[in-house]
Amino acid sequence: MAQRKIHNCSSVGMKSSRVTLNPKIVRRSFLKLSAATAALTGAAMTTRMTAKAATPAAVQKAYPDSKIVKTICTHCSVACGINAEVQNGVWVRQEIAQDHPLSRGGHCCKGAGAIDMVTSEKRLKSPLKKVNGKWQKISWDQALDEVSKKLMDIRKKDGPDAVHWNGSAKVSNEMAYLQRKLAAFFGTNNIDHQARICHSTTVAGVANTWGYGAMTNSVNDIRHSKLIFMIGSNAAEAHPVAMQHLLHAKEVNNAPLIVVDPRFTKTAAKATDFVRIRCGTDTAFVMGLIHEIIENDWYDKEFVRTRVAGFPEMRAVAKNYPPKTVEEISGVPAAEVTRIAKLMATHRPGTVVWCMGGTQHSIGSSNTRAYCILQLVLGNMGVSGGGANIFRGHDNVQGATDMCVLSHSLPAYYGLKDGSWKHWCRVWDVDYEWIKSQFHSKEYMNQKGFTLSRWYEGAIQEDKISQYTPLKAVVFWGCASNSQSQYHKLKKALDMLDLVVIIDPFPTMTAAAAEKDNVYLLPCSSQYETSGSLTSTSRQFQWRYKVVDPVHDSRDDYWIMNEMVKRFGFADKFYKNIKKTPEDVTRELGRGSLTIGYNGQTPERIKKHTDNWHTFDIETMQAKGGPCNGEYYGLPWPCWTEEHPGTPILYDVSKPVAKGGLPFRARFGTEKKYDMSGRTENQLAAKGVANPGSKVKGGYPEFKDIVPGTNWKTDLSQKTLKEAIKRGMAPFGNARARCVVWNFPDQVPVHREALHSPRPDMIAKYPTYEDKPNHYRVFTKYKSEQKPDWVKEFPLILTTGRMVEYMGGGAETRSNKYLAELQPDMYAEINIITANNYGIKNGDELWIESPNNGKIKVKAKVTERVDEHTIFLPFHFGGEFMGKSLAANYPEGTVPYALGEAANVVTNYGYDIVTQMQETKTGLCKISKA
Amino acid sequence: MKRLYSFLLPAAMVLFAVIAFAGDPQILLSPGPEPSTATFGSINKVFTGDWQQYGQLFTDWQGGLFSRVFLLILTIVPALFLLHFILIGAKKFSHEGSPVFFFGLFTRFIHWLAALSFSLLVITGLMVIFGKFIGGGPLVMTGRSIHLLSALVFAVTAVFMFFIWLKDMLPMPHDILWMFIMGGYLSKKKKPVPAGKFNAGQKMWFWLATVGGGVMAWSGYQLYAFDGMTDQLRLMAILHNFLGAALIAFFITHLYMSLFAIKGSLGSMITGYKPQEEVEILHSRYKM
Amino acid sequence: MARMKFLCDVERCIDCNGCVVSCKEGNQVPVGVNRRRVITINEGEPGEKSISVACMHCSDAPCIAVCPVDAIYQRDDGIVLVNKETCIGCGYCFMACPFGAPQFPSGQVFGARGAMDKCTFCAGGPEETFSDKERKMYGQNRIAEGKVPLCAAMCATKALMAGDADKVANAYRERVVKRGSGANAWGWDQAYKKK
Repeated sequence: MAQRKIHNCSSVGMKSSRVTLNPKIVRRSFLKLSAATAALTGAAMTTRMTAKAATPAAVQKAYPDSKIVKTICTHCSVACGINAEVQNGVWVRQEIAQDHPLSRGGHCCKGAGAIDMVTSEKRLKSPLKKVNGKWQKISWDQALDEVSKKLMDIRKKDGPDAVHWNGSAKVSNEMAYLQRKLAAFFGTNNIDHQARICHSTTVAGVANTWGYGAMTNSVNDIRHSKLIFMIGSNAAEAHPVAMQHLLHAKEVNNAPLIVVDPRFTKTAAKATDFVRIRCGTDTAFVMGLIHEIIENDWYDKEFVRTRVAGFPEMRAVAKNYPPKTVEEISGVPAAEVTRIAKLMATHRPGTVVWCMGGTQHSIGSSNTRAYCILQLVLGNMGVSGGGANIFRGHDNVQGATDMCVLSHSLPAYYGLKDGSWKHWCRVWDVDYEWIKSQFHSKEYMNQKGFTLSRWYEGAIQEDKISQYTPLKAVVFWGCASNSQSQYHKLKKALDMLDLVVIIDPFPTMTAAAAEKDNVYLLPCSSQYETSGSLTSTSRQFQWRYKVVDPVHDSRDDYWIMNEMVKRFGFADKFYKNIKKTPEDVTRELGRGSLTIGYNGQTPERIKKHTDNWHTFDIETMQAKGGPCNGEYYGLPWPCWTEEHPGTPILYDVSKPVAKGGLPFRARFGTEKKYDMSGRTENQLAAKGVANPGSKVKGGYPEFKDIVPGTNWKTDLSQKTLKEAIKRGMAPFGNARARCVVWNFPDQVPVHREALHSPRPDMIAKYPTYEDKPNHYRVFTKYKSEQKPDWVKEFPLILTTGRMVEYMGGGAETRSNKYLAELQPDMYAEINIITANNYGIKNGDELWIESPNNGKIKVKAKVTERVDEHTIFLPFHFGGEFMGKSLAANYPEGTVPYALGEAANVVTNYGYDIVTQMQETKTGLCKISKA
Repeated sequence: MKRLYSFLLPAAMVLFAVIAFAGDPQILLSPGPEPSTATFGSINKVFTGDWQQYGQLFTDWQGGLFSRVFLLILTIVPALFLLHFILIGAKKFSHEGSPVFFFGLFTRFIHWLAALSFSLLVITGLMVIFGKFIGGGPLVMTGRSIHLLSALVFAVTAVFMFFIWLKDMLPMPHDILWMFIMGGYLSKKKKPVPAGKFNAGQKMWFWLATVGGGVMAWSGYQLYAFDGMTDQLRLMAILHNFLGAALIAFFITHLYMSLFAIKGSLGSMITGYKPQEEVEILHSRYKM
Repeated sequence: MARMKFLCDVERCIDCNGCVVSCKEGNQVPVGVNRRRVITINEGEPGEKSISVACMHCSDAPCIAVCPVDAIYQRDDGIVLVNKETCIGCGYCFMACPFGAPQFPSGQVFGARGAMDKCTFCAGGPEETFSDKERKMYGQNRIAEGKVPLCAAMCATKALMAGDADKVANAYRERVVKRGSGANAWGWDQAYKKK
């Protein structure tokens, strides 16, 4: 929702106008059509902006002696390039990053205003402490001394698990790694970040299908797709610049753009086919597509035979989703299910794109697997134009996920078992026993910690917690709080804690929501005021050069970390091999992250790529000549050695491993007897399926004992990796992708109704799981929360989503006056029929209430985007709470320009069974005119 | 042959266009894909739909017509009156006899306040119309601000004047007679003229200045505040200009009549009294 | 002499407002003045389309015709600019413009409008090129730097194009013809009955 009223615009009176046909264009295109064999060059489809608006006089420089500093936008993971023009240490303006191989100078409104992150008046100017309800300015020394002392006191008295760390998807790879390392050295696994509530179900579901849980192809690769299937993705608003490449496929390849969504979004406006589904029925719909593709014999038999495991078992489950059943569950007409399946079958390679619409459900980990299975049966994996193109959220959520700022793993997905700890202790060059001694007990060292979605239960304990101590402190380091569901409960937690520390360039809603005197605000600088690497959604590494020094009295994250670690007393251990920040950190994390091949991307190589954007071809993302010749932009991981060019397309067996090819990862053993059928199947790839030049011409397990006592993941000498490449083989083995994930509660994805479902009949047929007594240290309800009667009192479906103007919790973007001008008010999208039934007109205020006692007051936006059963809320707003404004609680001069209710006050209780992802995309609510 | 060709080609193009657009309504109605030009067409309608109605008109008239009209009025009307003064001259009346009371103190005060503000309105209005000849910029912008202030003052006075003189300004049958003889101003003779307290000419001026002034104030407010849809603003601008021109023409007339055409008539708006002979001649139907 | 024009490809415009904010941020335009806006029709329905609109720098500009103080002028390359020191804020240009391009910051006396502001095609104003005064009053002068206006340069999907009229028309025409989907190429669905 961009502009509301245009002040004094011309009336929308529909008098007929004479549209003059330009005779010149008519004639030319007529002639052109008859000479239709004109050569089509890719270059012509790029923007043919005039080379220069040539002026007769000599072209001059507006800012003499300025230089261009290359950096990357800090908003979303499309990660557009920014050319920052700096004169005398001042960032004077954003120039056009036309050479960037993905964005080519383009930005959405957020990126166009990126400079505001540095210039905004609303930035935190100095460290602050809440004293007697008022914000008091304190020095850095005082702030760091007090915070560190309080944390150490709590650690001593209550244990290291009394502190919960909310890390960040918006810091560099190096900083994310240090955040995870800090939690480990502090002695707790209570560390998590935004990925938990964003794509945690993706990572779990996709990694458990074929090895890695990341985007398999790349944004640019979508240019080659013959069909694009978007389910639960509103890329036009969430990943606008990526649309450049999707639209290219649509225009040039004639690719159908299928958008599956409960709302007619801005992306749907560009779709060739729009399918409206009931919120939360993704698995049913996709299993229906799979059903049609299999039963009509459209599936890729050879691909399934050679590279897929568990097919007959999955087929048996898919048989339960014929089109008629899918129609009952999801509302999509049966004929439409068949039509879409046929479209996908006849347009290959096709790509599947999904985002929060698919992930934020109690069965999110089933949804994501269903999408993968769809691509497997179509044979769309490992090919250009195909793939599971998952668009990640924040600018470095991929990097922070890879660094596992997460409560269930150490960096690079090693997990929390002893082997993992020992590996990382070797990387850190610290004594394993010492690390163990930092923990409350060995048990807690191996146990998953609280998550971002439910950490507050550690304080309020409305659900029973499984930890020896409640939480006493929380640190928000680059993380918002109003993005977490049931926000009213989180707010309660803030006031029950002894200590709340917020480290952020802006105060965020957390500062306004916390009412007690237990809050410290530490101003860290933005990513433009520091340097480091980040990993985009396409797994590409980019380097951010420092544009300007930290503004006001803010400090960069590395400095703050250093100061805190010093005061915690283990700086010598922590920084043992780190002298130069961030480059030495890049080397350390690369050295240790062998599972995902983060070792080939040295700081030097990454910087070289950033310095040479212009040499990369936008179709293949490969450098044509120049210093990076032959390498793929960003050295997409895995990049196994310092000579490896990066892996642009995962699981592509047509290329040698040394040139970026890979098979599916052998992660799940070599053989499995399925519970559901009793059949035993070899999990390795079939004979004949391997990368060119592979010594073993078929499936093989992962590499181990090249260096005795190690495997490819733990051999720090990297000899194993090099040996594997030498043999033309993938270090992680060559296996089949799994349709049956035997370690998940639902081994094959099945539909289950959301906890708050509007369909009692469907609840009876497809109930949710049993309650889970210890789910990331918290008792998590499923069956006991799924009451068929909810819908009687709460008849409307509630769903949330994004708008292009704001990002995440909105603290940064709502502090940009130009963005706030575009959308100053929080609103709820409501269908005209529903609006009329409740007597609500456009702009009226209404109350929205949730079954979990949350309520908010927002303005109504009457629109056809949602159907008459659904209410949509954007989740970016903050600064108001249950009808009253919290503006007075912000430190002086930092109140964002746009304030509003946080949608998450009314999102419902519900969490994914595997990852504890919050179920914010489908809930129930009731509305009334305010 | 050439002529035939120069007919055929456009005809073919038109035919082509008609064929392309003949299918258009169907394309526009169906949810399926539509040609780009049809989309541009519907977007154009949102913007330029009403521009075709008044935008074009406003642009043409404001572009050249209005300033010419004002120039004409500013030259021709005074010229005509100069001619009148040369050919016919002023009417003189004796100041014997008892003077007739016409205008109270409050009335005179209001009139002069109105006169001052109205004069400022005229001058500053003309400054805007002919702005390019005086260099625009802060000078004319100041004029605009004074125009606004004066409008507020004048609007207040206009309301007073309206109610003070309404009774006496109502149209009467003898006003038609007055019009036929142009109030007797086309001859040098001093014959009694059919008029009450105010003659038809004064009545016309009254209605124009008060009601017309009110309309000017209202349209002027809309132009100042941009309070309305764009096509409404265009109409307001057109109205404000034409009515303003008419008011200036009548203003010049009023100036001539009260300052030059009748010797000493200015005095009646200063002292409040008119000479007896003047009233007997020029306002013969007036009952004291 | 090359004539400067804008063209927004509605098939590509996704209403991301990158053009709007790039202009505001790059030229430091005050809040409330919108040199460029994105208009969306049929919101939420099939047929939803968006277009980015600013001053079109018309060949026969109605704003120039109606300005009583001749504050608006047109350069040789077709770019239409206003001299803010001459402008009196009367608003006639807004009334004449079919696109509502002239914008007025709130002004001084009784809130009467200040001098008109509008898209300059990133060509600054009548002040000395690259001077502080030009930058403060009008924004960047990218044309003098040989650069393209910010809005078109930063368009996320390359929907908005700006530059020499002939070149822009050529680029757009090629694009339309190459749209293999046919549906978007003018006349194709009549001639070729695709889809």
